[in-house]
Amino acid sequence: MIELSVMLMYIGFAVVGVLVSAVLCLLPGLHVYNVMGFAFLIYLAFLNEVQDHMYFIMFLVGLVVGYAILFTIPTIYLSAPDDSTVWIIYPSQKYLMQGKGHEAVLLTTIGGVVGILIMIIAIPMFMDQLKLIRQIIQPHMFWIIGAVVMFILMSEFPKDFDRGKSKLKKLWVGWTTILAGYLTFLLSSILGIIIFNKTIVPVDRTFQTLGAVFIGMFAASSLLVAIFTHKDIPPQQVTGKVEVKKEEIFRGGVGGTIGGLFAAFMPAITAGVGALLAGHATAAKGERTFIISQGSNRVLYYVGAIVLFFTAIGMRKGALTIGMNLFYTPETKTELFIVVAGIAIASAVAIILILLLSRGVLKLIQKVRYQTISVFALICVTLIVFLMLSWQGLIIYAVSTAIGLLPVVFHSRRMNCLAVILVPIWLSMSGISGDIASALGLF
Amino acid sequence: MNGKLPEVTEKHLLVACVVIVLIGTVFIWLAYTSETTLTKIGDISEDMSFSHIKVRGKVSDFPSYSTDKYEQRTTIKFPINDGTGTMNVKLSDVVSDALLKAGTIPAYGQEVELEGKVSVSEYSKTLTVINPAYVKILTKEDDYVLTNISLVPAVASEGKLIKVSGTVKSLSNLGFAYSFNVTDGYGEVNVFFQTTFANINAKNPYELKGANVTVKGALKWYAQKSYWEIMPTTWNDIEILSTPVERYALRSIGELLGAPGTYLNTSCRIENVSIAFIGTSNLTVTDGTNYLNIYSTVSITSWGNFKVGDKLLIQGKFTKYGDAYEIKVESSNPSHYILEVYT
Repeated sequence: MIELSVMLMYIGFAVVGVLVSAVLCLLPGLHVYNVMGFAFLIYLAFLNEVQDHMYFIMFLVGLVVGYAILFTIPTIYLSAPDDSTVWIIYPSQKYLMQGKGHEAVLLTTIGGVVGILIMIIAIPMFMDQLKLIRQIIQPHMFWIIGAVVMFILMSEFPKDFDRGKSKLKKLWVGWTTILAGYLTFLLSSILGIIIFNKTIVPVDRTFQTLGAVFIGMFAASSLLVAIFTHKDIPPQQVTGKVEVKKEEIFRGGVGGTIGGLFAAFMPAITAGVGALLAGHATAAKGERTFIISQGSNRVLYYVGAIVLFFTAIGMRKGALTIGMNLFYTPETKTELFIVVAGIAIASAVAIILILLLSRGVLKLIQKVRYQTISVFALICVTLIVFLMLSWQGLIIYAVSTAIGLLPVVFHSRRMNCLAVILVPIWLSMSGISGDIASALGLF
Repeated sequence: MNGKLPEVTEKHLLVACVVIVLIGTVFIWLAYTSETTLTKIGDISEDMSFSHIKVRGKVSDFPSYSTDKYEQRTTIKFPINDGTGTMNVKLSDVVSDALLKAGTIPAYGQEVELEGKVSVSEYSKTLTVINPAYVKILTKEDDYVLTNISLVPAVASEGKLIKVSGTVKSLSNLGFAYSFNVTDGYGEVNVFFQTTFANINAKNPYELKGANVTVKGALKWYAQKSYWEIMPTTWNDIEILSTPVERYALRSIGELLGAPGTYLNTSCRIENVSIAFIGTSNLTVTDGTNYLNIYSTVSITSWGNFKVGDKLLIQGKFTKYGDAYEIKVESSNPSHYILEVYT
């Protein structure tokens, strides 16, 4: 039996993680997994000195919980989407441009609350059933991921920004965004195959390679666009309430939960892809439903992966659980209960913080020019990539940024960038990864 | 319908926070009260591999202790038996280090309760413990039965926990273990003390010679020599009640060499003597007039950094080798006999 005082210390560390996350979320583009990469490097150096890993783990849990909830702030106010926020960027930006940014924050938080409640109650309750589902689908992962890849490609659609005068022009306009999407998918796939098979970064940092890719594709490309194109944010109203139907909360919350859980459950699938699938599966419509679903989707994707790791399923999905598994394997239900308790209390702290931070950031962006924040953020994330992966990482970062700019320039879906992990993992599961890499001259 | 939609306010979200915190509190309570169900070793089957279990049983052999030569990680292993079967237990390096520091290594004969991940093969069952909190020694001090040494053979059984008091009569270093006899005047019993555990606390086993001690441990039948031995695990199991007065009596070289017959095979201490010669396994010391050889079974280079002319305080046994007299040091640990060096 673990002493109550020790358990409360664990919870305290989770709360500290949320507070650190609150500071980090003010930097648009910075992903929590990049920060964790540094934390792991430092921690692993002192591994032999540590008697109880649970303190560090709970700190990381708090960090991820904070990120899942609080990163709504930069997503909405500073428009720096990551792989999981691309799906809501437009509805939430509309709210922002209508002076209702805080309402968008509240809607996302409502989704987060639904996701947290479902997660902390349902996952521990149904972990045996989830384990069974996992065992059933395990041998079928290959074709499921293949089907997801097909769905992403087939669901790319023309955006109709303009209408060409000649037939050829009409054809071109119709196909521009689709082709740009396919090109993004193709280039991302090739980049993924290269970095999964023969990365150029220092050997001891290879587990951080994807950090440079994601920062380039989603953060740096957004920040560059923001620096050169961003308009002034209109005055914002903070009413402390938002109009929303119960049905929208239900549809958005449950839809996002399904998408997030699917993404947490399946290898290579990220929150954005999960949200896309769940949105179609539940026929979600309406901006409020979308924003709410994104809130629950993010929570389930990031935090749900932690809970699944601590259940009997013992799954490893995401940088946190994979990193943790280097030195720690959960064994008991007690550990699961402690982590769920930590998640619950850290979530409550994060929800209170988001209400305060939303107001604070609103004041900040009215005083500091958005471009200034974006330039500062771009310098920071570039520096992080350099510190993480040296100059070799900067090369990957530059290539990723260029690929990430394609969908922004041609208005295709940024989700195609996720082929960077989907395709190599899909190929690896199919057993032809080596042949493809060889054909590309990597071996 | 008036067209106005229902509203969710920040107060609603704060109420949701309270609900979430309450659920979190329930999980804290669950974590605090949850206990793993006890499993009988005989019931452990292959399909239980990699699951977390709790077992309770007696340590059925002396724990072994090894250090990984590359990573300097310590691992303690021992078998336990709960009456339904036997399984191997492996304490991870973290657990081993913690127990070694605390001096609470499960001893042979003790009843323990352990939690960990079980791995089952066709031939063996192994429990790996990765958390020091999952090692509980259920045996209490009162469980060691204080026994007169002469009665040991009469009450003895394999693994029985006993406690005896007496004087240490002889001590021999077997390399892998120390073995000594304890007598209370009416009987005599052998004590077997594994070197690895003896060295952990860096005490000098030779301090035991002639000392009055209380030794506790499990009894084990030594089939080869047909007698019962007491098997303590750590220094905590051996309490020195009193040491013989002046065991290392202060002598001068002149005194020893002047009446060698009087002092032969006694333990003595000489101080303020200078080093006159340094060999590979011996030193020659002098008080300015007389010279005396100091002999060691270990290389002289392991004694420390000193040079000819340095002064020593040294202790050992005054012995005779061939026609010459010498002091033979009684431990392989230099700190036990080179007590001080004056340069």
